[in-house]
Amino acid sequence: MDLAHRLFTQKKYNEASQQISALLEECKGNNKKIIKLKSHLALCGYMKTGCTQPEEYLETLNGIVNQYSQDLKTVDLGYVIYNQAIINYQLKRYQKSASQLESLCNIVGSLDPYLGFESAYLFLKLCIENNHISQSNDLVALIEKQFFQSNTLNKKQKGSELLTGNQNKNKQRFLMMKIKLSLCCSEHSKAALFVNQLQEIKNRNLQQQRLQENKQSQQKENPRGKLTERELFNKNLSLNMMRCKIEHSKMNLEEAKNNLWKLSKTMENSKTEERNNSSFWSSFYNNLGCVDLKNNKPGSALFYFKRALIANSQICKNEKTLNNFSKDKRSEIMYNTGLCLILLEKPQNAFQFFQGALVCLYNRPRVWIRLAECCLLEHFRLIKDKKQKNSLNRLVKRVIGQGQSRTVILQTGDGPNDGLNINEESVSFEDIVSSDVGDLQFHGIPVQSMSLDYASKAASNSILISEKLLKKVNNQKQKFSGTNIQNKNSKINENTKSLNNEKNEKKRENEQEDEKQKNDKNSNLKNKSTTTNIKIDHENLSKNDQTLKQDLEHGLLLLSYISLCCQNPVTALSSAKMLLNYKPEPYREYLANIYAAEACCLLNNPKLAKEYISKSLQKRRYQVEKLLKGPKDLEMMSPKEFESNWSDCVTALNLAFVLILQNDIQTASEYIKQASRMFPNSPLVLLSCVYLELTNNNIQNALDLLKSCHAFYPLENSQK
Amino acid sequence: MNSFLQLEELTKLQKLLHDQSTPFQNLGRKVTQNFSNDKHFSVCSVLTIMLRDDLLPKEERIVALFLLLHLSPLGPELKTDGKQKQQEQEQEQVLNNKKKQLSSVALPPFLPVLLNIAQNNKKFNETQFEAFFVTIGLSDPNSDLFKQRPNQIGINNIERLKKYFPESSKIDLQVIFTKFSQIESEIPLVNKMGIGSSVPDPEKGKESKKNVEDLFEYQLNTDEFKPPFVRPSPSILEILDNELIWIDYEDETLLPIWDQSITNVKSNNDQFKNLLKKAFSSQLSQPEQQQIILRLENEPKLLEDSEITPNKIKDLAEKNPIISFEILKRFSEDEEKINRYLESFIQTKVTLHSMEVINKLSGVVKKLNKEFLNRFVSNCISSCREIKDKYVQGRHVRLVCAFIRSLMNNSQLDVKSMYTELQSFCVNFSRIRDTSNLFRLIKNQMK
Repeated sequence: MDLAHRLFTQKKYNEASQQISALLEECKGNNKKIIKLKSHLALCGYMKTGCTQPEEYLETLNGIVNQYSQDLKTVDLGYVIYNQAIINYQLKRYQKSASQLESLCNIVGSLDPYLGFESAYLFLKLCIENNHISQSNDLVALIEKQFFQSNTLNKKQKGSELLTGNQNKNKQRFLMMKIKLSLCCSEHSKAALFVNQLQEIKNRNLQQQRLQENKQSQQKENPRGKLTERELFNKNLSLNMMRCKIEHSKMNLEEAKNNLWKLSKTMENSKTEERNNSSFWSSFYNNLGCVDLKNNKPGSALFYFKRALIANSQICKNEKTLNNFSKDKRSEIMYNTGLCLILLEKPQNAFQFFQGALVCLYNRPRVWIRLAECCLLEHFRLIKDKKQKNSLNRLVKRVIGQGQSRTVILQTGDGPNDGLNINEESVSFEDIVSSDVGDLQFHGIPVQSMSLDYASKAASNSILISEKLLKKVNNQKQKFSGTNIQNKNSKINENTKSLNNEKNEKKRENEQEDEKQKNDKNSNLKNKSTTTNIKIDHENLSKNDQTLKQDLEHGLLLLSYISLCCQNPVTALSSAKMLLNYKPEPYREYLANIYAAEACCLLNNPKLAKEYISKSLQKRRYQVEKLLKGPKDLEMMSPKEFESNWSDCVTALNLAFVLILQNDIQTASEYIKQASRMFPNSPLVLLSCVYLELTNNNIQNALDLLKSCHAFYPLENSQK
Repeated sequence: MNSFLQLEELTKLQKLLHDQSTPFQNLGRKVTQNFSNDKHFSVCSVLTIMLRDDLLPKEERIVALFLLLHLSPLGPELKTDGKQKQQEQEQEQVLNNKKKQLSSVALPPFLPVLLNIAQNNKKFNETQFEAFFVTIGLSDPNSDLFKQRPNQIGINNIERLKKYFPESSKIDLQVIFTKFSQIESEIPLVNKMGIGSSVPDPEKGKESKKNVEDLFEYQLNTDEFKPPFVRPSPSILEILDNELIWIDYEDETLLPIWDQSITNVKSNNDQFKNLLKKAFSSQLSQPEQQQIILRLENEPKLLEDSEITPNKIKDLAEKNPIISFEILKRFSEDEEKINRYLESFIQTKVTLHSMEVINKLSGVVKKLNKEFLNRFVSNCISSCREIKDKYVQGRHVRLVCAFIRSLMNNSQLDVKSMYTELQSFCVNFSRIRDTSNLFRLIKNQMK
């Protein structure tokens, strides 16, 4: 066996295979040994092809597990399961990989320490990459307990003793993960502390290396100090990246950018092979783009993301190995590009990029929200175009006839309401599609067409995913409150379920099936809204969980709005009610009440509609009171809404609408007057006033109102 | 309007509406001649919009109403015979059945428009005269009124119309109105709140002029003018700090790994033995201790091959008490064996570590050998006397007190048999407060 291993490490895969085959014949009946030999044989075959046929290798491993899983324990299949997990990870099948690694982490104590550490490390990496923070924290505790025992290590470090061999390397890798996790939790000082620890270890290694180099140079009289530093710098690239990220997180953006530039210059001066490292350049340009986007420079950010995508495309072009596949960060870069394009008000292009990002980021609710937003922005743009083309912006459609039979024809339908805020200036989508992004158009992914229907499906998906993740978080917290460290393994068990989102796995594999699923989800939403009732512990939510909650709330808000646009008041009402159950932030609560009220009107229940509007009015008053108390509460609602009292005007108009439905024209007119005092020239207010005059048979007053506002009167007639 | 009729068709329709000298019945024939069946819906739609938006002069409105009546005939199930009606009045049950039967019958699409006008609820800007006209048309479609020319009937002269009102209606309007009100109640309030979208704006001193082109360009639609329900759109979700995906460059290559556990089985056992050997002579680090404990947990048989003798266990307890405890714990299943190993603790000097091991063991093993415990406690007491340094002695006495208390709490110590010795220990070291507490505890137990 030793010989086979030696041959394997010497990359003599054929000879190693022969050796293993011979051993296989010798050990019939010993299942444990047979498993290991078979997995070695498969590994040799896989390496022989240059890691280009992962599916075949995975199939062999699956076969081994299926054959022996009944007779043997997981411990005996440990290496096979780990290798399965590695291949699944590199093929970006994260759910499968996570469940396999989870089974190993549950028995980490009884595993071979090398395998145990590698399994826990990979699982931690996977959890951090998928933003499963609490699960990652549990894993960090587990790894520390099992492999490092932080107390003793710290004591050792104080004595400046060097960790040796694998433990040293593993400690560095583990520290890198801890830095990443701290950054994910926005714990910058903690991250900085870990970076310093990492730097200390690396400095000690550097000193040791230099000592060795000096000894060698004294012997060979060949000073290599400078080159060693450069080589070391290359090795420290990821650490520098991490430092930049910390700077970036601390919002010292310019400094982060400078650091990145320094890094790139060193790269360019270093060895040619490093300079041609596409993986480095794709991450480098992506990160530069992130810094620029943070600096509110979406134009230059787009330029960098474009370069990042080009560099990324080289990764898979060069050599189609599995490792290269795992380094392909197209989805991540595409997501960033999509955000950039949203800021540049190009929803059509952004939509395409978000679709591309779905390939790997399909289980992130935020991606679905962005897709829904793109569809909505495009919908607004189309409506605006249509209105401009057909002069629908005017209140008077046309004036026909002359003399005694002259008649003014009013604009009908949703008209000025659709997609427009009461403040005409507040939303402007005029230049959204005016410029194109050239070669940034993404090809190769079947792009779904933008529609309100797709938007509602995307919003439903975001709700389902965030709801599921939040449920898991809540379950974890409930369990955590009564457990001690010894139970951490079982907690990991619970946590991993969040990664096992089977529906989303199917989505990725089959787009068409996905569509059907989403339809089902959409139609089931009403039922779900009544059955699911997550009680969220608002105070104890971490930053990441709060983002998740925000996603859930915004998804529900979008779904409610889109359903109203699609004339589906039932879904609109159920999602608005669901949102109100979650006690959202005031701005969302206000809108949810309005949407619920409109849905109630459409469902012939003006009484309930009135209740909802009254609630929104109370919310608004409450906010104003809070605003007067101090500036802190301003964070609760976007400033635009606070700047003007348009929400009061909206509430007044909507109350008037409901009162008209209830035939209480007199009270309705009071509310309309109240609205007209606030925004006398708003088309929506004017429409309500004209309606009121016409229902009261005051035709002349209605005409005067229409003629008073030239902007909404047909040009030819107003000139007359 | 162009969405319903072409300009030529609209011109034809307008000609019919202008025609005041042709009897109504002939106008009806003309409209069916000029427009094929599939166009009837469009014609009715245009007529309805014209009526609703008040786009026609009064004379033409009457013709429009007739054409609408003509093109929206009531189905045979809605028509009733006068005699039959009388019979039905006598038999209420039969009438109710008829009503039930009617509820399943759909009304012609434009009948609600006519019924609205007949009820004179001003939704179509109708006058009372027009309402009466439509009621006659609905009650008796073949009324003599329709043999007249439009210019003969005299607009707004209701008295003239009254003579045409049928004595016994061929249509049971009550039943139709009931059904109509049923349908109306089902229409959402929002759909009912709309009003006509035209507002008359006459210019003073100018002649009335409205040609077909005007009407054609009017681009009629069936929507009604309603007040707005304002639906503000949700704003775009702000891009958060952690939303942008930062990619860390990683030169780490994750590849499947070679299972070295086969080749390492032997070496792993050797490693365990070496560690144990090391544990006899020096203190192990915590990870090393952990490693041994883990191996012992997973493979208890490893102890069988180890070279741990009763003499060595005492050394182990001194250097690595935790490992010593773990090993003794595993030996405790065999009473003879554990006694042999415990004997070594009696034969040597009592130390803090040996007390720690025995104390831990007393917590795990249910019944430790009583004789051994008595002897060990005696040794502990005598070890206190041997220490000359008062400070060290005091500390040692406190530890012994704690040890004895722990044994008593675990119900391992036979206090009665050791009472005298314990009493003298407490008296001898009465200067230390712990002994008085211990003595109190002993006395309590003796009671």
